[in-house]
Amino acid sequence: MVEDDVELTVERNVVTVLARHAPARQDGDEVIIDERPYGEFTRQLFLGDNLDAGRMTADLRDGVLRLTIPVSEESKPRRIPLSSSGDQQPAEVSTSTG
Amino acid sequence: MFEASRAARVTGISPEVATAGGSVGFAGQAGPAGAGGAGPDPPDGPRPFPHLLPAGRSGLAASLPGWRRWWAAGWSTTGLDQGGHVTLMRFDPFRQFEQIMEQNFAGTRTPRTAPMTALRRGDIFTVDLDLPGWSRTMSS
Repeated sequence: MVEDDVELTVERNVVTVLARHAPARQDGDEVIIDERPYGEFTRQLFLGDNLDAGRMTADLRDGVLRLTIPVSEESKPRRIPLSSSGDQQPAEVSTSTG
Repeated sequence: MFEASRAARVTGISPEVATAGGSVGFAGQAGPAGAGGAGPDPPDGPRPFPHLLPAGRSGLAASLPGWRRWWAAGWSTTGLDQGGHVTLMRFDPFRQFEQIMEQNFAGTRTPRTAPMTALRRGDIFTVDLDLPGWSRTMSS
């Protein structure tokens, strides 16, 4: 009998969620009502390059699996100081790579 | 099928609940005394499977006449035979058949897709997947 289990794997930019739900009945049980679904539930997500899969967290509570994926620091807007070869003071501009 | 009003009176639930796909009901002690049990065959014909009919128990199945009593018992005497006053009963055998077909020919072989919601809140992406039945806290 396959026990209930949840697998969460990350391979490069692909997140795979695989959940198995085993039926509650056992040998010798007389099943009166059996409407709850069981078997395998799966889902795959493709993460963009701007997400930091290394800092992803997952929390399973009340039947909801919540994945939290922060935006990578490299993708956040940041200021880059400009240097000048002339006599003027360096200036800063705001750029965004994400 | 049986009358919804009668079922509601016996089970203590509203007629809407009794008829609107409710497959679980509570058979209380309100069944008429002496109406149930393994008595003589009902006037509308002999019982098809006399050994499946609950013997000497009150409740919804016992309160219904003849064939309807056997039908309401859900083809099973579990609970009714064991002396309990609260009994699970099945009213929709066709749904059971569909469920068996799903489980045996599709559900256990083909992975199902979990419903998902994804949104961005500031610098955080949040993905929620419905996994009913699981409650373990995990992290990766």
